[in-house]
Amino acid sequence: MDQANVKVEYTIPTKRQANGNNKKVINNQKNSSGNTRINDGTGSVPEFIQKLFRMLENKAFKHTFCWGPDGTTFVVKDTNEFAKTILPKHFKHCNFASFVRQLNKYDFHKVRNAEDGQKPYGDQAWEFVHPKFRRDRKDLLEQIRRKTPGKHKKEEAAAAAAAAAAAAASSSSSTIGKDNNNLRSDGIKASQEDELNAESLNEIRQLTEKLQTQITQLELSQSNMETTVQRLSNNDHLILNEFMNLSKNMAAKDDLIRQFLQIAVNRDKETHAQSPSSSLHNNAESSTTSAETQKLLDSYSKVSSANAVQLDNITKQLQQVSPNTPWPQQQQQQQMQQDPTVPSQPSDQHPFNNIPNQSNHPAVVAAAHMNAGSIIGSPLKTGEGLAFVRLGRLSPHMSVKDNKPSLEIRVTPEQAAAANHQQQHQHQQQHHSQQQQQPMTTPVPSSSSLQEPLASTLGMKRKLGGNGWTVPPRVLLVDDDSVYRDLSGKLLQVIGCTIDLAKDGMEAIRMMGAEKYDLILMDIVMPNLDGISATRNIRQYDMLTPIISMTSNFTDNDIVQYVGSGMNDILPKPFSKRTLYGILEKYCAHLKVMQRFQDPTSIPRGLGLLPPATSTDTSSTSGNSSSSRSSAVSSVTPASGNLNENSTGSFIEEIPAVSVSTVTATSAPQPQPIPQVPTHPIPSSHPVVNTPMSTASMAYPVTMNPSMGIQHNNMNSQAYHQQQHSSTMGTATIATQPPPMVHNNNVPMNPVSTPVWSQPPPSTTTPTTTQQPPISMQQQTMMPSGDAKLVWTPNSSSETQAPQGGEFTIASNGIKRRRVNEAQ
Amino acid sequence: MSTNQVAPEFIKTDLKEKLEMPSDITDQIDKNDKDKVSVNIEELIDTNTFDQLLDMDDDEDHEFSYSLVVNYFDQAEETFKDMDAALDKKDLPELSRLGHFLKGSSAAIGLKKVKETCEKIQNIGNCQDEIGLKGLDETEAIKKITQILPLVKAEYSEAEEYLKSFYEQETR
Repeated sequence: MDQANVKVEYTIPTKRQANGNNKKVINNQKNSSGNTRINDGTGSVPEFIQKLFRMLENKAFKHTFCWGPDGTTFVVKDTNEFAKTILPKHFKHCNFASFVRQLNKYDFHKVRNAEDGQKPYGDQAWEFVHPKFRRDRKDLLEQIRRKTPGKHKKEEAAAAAAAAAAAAASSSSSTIGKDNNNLRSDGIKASQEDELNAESLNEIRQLTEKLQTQITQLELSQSNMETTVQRLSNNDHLILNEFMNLSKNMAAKDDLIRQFLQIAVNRDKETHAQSPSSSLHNNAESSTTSAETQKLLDSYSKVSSANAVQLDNITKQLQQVSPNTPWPQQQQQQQMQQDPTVPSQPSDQHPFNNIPNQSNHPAVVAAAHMNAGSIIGSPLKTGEGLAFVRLGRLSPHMSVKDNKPSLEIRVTPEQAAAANHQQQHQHQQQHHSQQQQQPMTTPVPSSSSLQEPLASTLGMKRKLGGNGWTVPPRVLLVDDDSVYRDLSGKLLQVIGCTIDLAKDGMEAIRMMGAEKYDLILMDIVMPNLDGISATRNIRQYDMLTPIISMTSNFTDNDIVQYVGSGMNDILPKPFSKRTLYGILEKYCAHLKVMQRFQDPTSIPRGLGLLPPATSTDTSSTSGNSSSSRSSAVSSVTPASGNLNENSTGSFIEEIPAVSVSTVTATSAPQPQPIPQVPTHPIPSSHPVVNTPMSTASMAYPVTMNPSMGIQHNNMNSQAYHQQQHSSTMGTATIATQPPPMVHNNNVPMNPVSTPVWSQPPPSTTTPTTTQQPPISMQQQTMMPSGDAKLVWTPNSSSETQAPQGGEFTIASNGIKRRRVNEAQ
Repeated sequence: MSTNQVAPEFIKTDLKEKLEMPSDITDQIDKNDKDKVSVNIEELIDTNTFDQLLDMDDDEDHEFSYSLVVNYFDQAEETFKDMDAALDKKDLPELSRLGHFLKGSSAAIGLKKVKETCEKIQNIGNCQDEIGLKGLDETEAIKKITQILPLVKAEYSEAEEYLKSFYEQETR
């Protein structure tokens, strides 16, 4: 009986294994094609196997180490005993783990007891199986070989399938086995008849095998899907939670705004009461303002209702996925309640003088106002419809894909209002007593206090991409060598980038035409179309995306060639993780999270972003890009511009005036980005998110900027011949560049850039930042990398502004840091 | 050329019998065999690069790096075949390109000797001598490559052996 079973099992599997398994093994090997030494089937039995077999045959150890019930497996009943007594006798070590490892090397597999639930040998027992290791089949032993790593997985699969098939088929073949049994009196050698008899079974076995493998695969994919679904539902929960927070914050903001408005209204009443003489003056204005204020309030209510609607929509969508969102309705109700209260405020006293002037987008302004100046959460009625302006709170892709300024930060209306207050009183009522001004200052602190929590929440929520990217950089990797593609691809993934691969220049061009990338890593030597020609081609229609050449040829001559074709930098092969990361930091700095925002004492970003109404430098061609958004933004700007007489900066600067002391302190080390803001309308791709520093710096360099801007422009065009509109670059600073990058401005990349940098530091930083984002970013971040000489050569098509249109494609998919001040 | 301690016979027989190497090279191999008994892994593989590669593995079984290495093996085998064909056709530019190509991926994994020899092939294919100066004529170049090609294959085999055994130890 026992014997019969044994024989049954070995008969069929033998065939299968001899025919099918071996073939599978050999055919599936692709890695050891050149090396037949390990896998040849001829030769004697490996020594380890011999020992093992002998050990098993030696019944002396039966209590610790013996064959399994059917002779197809062997069992170690007591691993400790085994390791102490048996192992040292036959092997040189007494380490059970080593023994197991060696078993694995020879393709033995542990039998898991859980399957059939039987533990005849106790919980400590280890049972091992090898298809060719059977008590009665010594002839198969010599076929046991060490497996090579590449094929072990396949063999495992094959073996697993084989084992499963064997198990499945064994029961059905018991009858046939008995027949074979009779023929096998000697029990070892396969006879011709056996083979014939087994032929038919063979096919059955194979079929069963296949089915078994399919089942396993299906199960695998099923579990994968389940995991994915689980993950997705977890994400949904997270998103919902975020939403809840969002709504709560909005409600809080609305509250604060209302309070503020109330205070302002009250103050106005006082003001009017105090100075009857000027009341006439005021009244005239207030009448006008009241109308406008009313408009404002109306738009606010519109906005908040739109807000509520949108919240509703989103919640509904989310609810479809996970039905546990009772709160959104509550939020909506709250908002609805809030709405009526707002219009009820006395509007005639509201000195929102200048803001309403922006008839373009009252909703925007109102929204901004109502949101306590934080862009976060203020829905803008842009041309594309309502969009939540969020700084990366939710999925980063939300902002990216829509090309909406997820980071667009408008001047906080609170501050704007406060500024207006101040302005108004300063300018219009200068003859008023100081008393009037003093009350004005009160709103400012309150608004600042408003922003503090917002700023901190902003900061906290910033990191969405991995490694501190706000949005994962999109990288196009072009290399004909698959090893490099895989290697670099993996490195980039680890950093947190999304990658597209291209095999040669043609493919690269095609992919560039289809998508925009933040960075291109281009190999030089490639079939079909080499890197240099591909770069030239790409540069014809895209000036912004940085193209980095990866190559092992970097003689001076080569470098000149590369830069001449339009490449921005060189990454010598073979590269290390560090150098690759360095390049990424340089060119995708604008996508990095700004840590600065976590400082609650700094002026909230919102302040910094309003462009100083000026746009005196209309040379900016930034027109096209920012479209509605920027126009919306810029619409705010002119208003502020009207306000300010003393500075070209926006009214935002008034606020800094209040707290500038604190801000400037912090901003001191950070020269650049901000200075730019006031002057030039920056092309949209400038990061909108301004560091608080920028705000501060706006205060002082504002006056400088116009001249600087122009000056810089000239210098820029001379020195850099860069592709972008050097003219426009004036202000658009990459506000969000982290401090270290800022400093790099002073260390330009190599000789070419030196002359430009020789300007005095404040201005130096200014012009730099005014560069078009890609270039400026590159410049700023162009830490002198030791490995490559960078020669900035002008791009022939440098002055064409059309493609860039201020739309710096380099960041187009990332968060478009657009300068609010790109008044276009 | 130092040979792997584990498989000196294999390499030598392979080289001598299969590749019909010129006698001077075989003598060199024999000589080196006597000189160096143990494998000098540092010479064979640049551990910095290779470790960096291993670093990128998510877990202990080195799935990613191993697949990369396997990929490289395939690529190298292919390239060697192409090189043989190109050599038959006396196509120097092609040889140079192939040399450059394999050089890159060898360097990525950190196989120093293979990379250096590939660089030589690249240069010779460009009718430059081994250090990059111009001055070879075509027949000379062909001759040199004929000599070097078996060398690089041997170095590759050595590296391949080492890597395979490395992964065998690692993954089990």
